Amino acid sequence: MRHAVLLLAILAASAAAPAQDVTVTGSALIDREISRTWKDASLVPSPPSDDAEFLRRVFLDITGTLPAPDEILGFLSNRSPDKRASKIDQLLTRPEYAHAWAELWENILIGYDQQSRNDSKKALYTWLRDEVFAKNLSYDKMVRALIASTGINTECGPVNFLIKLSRKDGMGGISMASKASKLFMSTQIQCAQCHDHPFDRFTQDDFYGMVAFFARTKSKKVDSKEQKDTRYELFDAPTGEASFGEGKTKKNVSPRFLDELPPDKDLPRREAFANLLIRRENPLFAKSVVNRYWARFFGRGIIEPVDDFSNRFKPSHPELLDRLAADFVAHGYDLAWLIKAIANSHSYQVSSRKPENSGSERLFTHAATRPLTPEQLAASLLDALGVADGQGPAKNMADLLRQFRQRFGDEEAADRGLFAGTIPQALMIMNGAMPNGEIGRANNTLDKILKQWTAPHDRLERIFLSVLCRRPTPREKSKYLPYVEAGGVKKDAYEDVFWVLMNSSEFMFNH
Amino acid sequence: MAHDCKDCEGTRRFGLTRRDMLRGSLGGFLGFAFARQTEVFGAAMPDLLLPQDTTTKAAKSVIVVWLGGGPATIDMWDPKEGRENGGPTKQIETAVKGQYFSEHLPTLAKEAEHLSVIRSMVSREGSHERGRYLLHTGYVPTGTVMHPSMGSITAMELGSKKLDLPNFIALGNTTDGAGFLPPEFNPFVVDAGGAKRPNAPAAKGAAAGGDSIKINNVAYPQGVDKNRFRERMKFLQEQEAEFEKDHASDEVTKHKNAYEKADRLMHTPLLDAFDLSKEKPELQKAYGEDKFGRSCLLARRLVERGVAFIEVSLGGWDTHQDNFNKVSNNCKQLDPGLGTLIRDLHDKRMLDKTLVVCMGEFGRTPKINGNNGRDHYPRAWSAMIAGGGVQGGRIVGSTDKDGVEVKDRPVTVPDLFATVYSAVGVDPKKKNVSPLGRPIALSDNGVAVKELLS
Repeated sequence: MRHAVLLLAILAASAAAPAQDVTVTGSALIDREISRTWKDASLVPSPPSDDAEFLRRVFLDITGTLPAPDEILGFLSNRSPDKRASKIDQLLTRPEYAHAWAELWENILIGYDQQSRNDSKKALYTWLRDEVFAKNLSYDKMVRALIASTGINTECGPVNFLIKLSRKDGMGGISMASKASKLFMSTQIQCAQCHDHPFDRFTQDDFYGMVAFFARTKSKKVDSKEQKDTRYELFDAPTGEASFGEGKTKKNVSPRFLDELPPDKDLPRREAFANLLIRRENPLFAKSVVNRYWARFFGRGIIEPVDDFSNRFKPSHPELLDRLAADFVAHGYDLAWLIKAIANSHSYQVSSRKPENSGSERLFTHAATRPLTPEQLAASLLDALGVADGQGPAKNMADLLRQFRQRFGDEEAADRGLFAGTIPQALMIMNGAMPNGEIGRANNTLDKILKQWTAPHDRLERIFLSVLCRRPTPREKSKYLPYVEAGGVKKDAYEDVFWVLMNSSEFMFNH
Repeated sequence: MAHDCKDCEGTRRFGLTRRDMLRGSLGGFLGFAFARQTEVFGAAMPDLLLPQDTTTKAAKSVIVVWLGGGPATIDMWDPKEGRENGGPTKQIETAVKGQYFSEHLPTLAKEAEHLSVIRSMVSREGSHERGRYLLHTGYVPTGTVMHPSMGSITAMELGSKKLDLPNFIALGNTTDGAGFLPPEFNPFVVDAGGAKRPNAPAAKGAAAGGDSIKINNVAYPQGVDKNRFRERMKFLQEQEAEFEKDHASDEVTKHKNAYEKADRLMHTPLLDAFDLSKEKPELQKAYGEDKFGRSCLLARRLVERGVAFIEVSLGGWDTHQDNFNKVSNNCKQLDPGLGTLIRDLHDKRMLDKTLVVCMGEFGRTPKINGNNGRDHYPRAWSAMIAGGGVQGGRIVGSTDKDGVEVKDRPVTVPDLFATVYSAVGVDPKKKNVSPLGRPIALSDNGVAVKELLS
């Protein structure tokens, strides 16, 4: 228990440590800290990304989609010095941004549980999209809603987070407290469930003190058996305590936050928990989400894994994380600000080509080459092929996603692409009706290109722009041009090139 | 550290004790401590302190028949005729004198000398999700680590890297996967939905030899022939080589390997396993021409071709209502399919190299509920095990006369897993390293059922 206090105190102190120059914030702060570690390690980073490389990466990271050929060409020919910054601003206002991040947070909060989505009619996703990301609701308010809301799953989006947990095991708050600590503070308290660990920071008292906040939180079916819907309501029972031990040693534990703060007794327990969680003095709250967002943009967290800040996993840039988190708090927990700070940094915008000294992923000398998430891959395929969601044999994105999500390891790592390298996935993209039947279909991308452009050179360029979001290199031109020209009027050769690019690592990875 | 808390990842939080560092079996482990997740993925760690069982009797392949929903084993392997809890289910004597199965398993009863039943399975997970996880991985779900399933472990331990077929094939439903092991040990799921149902119009009167079970996406896309496919693959390889020059990473390599394996799978002659028409019509009929029977037959053909692990699913066992009709109907598929599989493996002298297990996520309440159904019951249930590495004709443990409690010789799920791993010659105490650096044994402290091992 004392250790827990000490821990929070140390973290709080470091977060509030007076910096040499507090005026350096956001992107400048990131670049100063990152380049300092390069210097210390005598590493030379990769050169800046070129415009096409940057554009594809920032599209995938912010909107989960690919830029269209005309937008790429427009961006390449734009001479404005701040075109990257204004593109980032623009992307954050697009509906694709709200969609992609709602989907991502939905996965983080409830995993791939289809039942929960169906039962609630996607209310959690809809709330995240329309109320959180489209309106740029501040992160502290978003989390307060997820923790403290009460209501019916179809009507109140945020309650679905706790409904899912309460339905899963009904263990009187254990999974709710564990998950909330893990997701919002990157703190894994659940080990103390069965015993005080001799070396651990948390005791069973600490653990059940946290559990007590959720001990009265329950969910119940609203509809009778005869009704078709299965709606659930999240509510708080008037009584219920957290307890552990058996027989004589069994004891009740009152709500108490990890740093021993007792809750505001006048408030319902979950509301009191939310207040303690999101208060400025709790440094873990901001650090956790800043690190999570960092990992989304850089391919790995400053602390990795992102959900465990125990001293087992050392931060690569502790001061940067502390200061960026404090900066984020000073900017009112503004998630769009955080994305801008990251995406506008030179550190984010370095090339993914490895530097000659081979670089260091941990020190971010080059952009990470990482598999697309299932959501990014599904959207990229539809974008490249020119298939509208809900059309043709693609039927809908949900079908495609289900296939990609199959056998996806850890749902909580859903914001990271981790699923490259399965044979069924390779077979599907190599031979499956979707995507293969769509390459040559009328009114899809390739068909439009062949109708609009006649010169093989132009056609090839448009295919490259559509699939890889860049122009072909001279080498690629000299290889593919004779091939498509030999194909004559038939479009087979163009389909082949399209197929090759669509199956390449360059397409299936974010880099 | 020897830390066995079931609900946490133990060493993940606390690092290692000095003793761990000194243990030979953990040599080099410390280096993993702060390594990237991907770098420790699935790093197998043979436990040098515990030499592997090198019995020559070990099976080389495993077939698991998965009864999804939780089968009423009281109406199958452990009937209670004459007791109120037994319901209308009658018992029949098996080929082993004095042993009785339920009337729903006549084919299996004839094979009783080749199979053994554990009537004293005990577990504590009564929800489908948690029970399924437990019976696939041998571990209680913790939320902090995804354990690899029995199929993935078997594929890793017994599978041949040279085989062009996947080493873990799931016929029917998707199943638990590789967990923290590398993705190559995930199940290759084959949708067996194309096989004929017993009462489908097309099957009526048709000669034996129904549709073959189709493996998806191994044929060229429409309009593409072999030459064109080779042309595409040649271009793709060049494209990959160019990208890899300055983007080399583990993940890019995995992507490339998956494409190579997919290419090999598409072109291997071993795919003829899926052509069930090559089997004698009588044999096809004996297996049953429903999806399950054909999957059992396919499982045998896959074992012949060297596949290490096959899971065959048969669902519909969640019999909260109308239990007795449903069990009877399900057994009309299960009994001929599984019974013929054991017979056929025996006839072809493959049974001593193939381990066959039949189980679901739990049993069902001995007390019959108001809907003539049975509810979830993990406290006392049965599993079947047969073939290589284990003895046939045995009944292990028993339940009381009403099927409520295990009377003697309780066998836990980890014990069952330890038995399976021992039967295939793999040390159940062998450890794999989780992504966060914790060594996790193949079986969760299970002890093999010694009297079953051959």
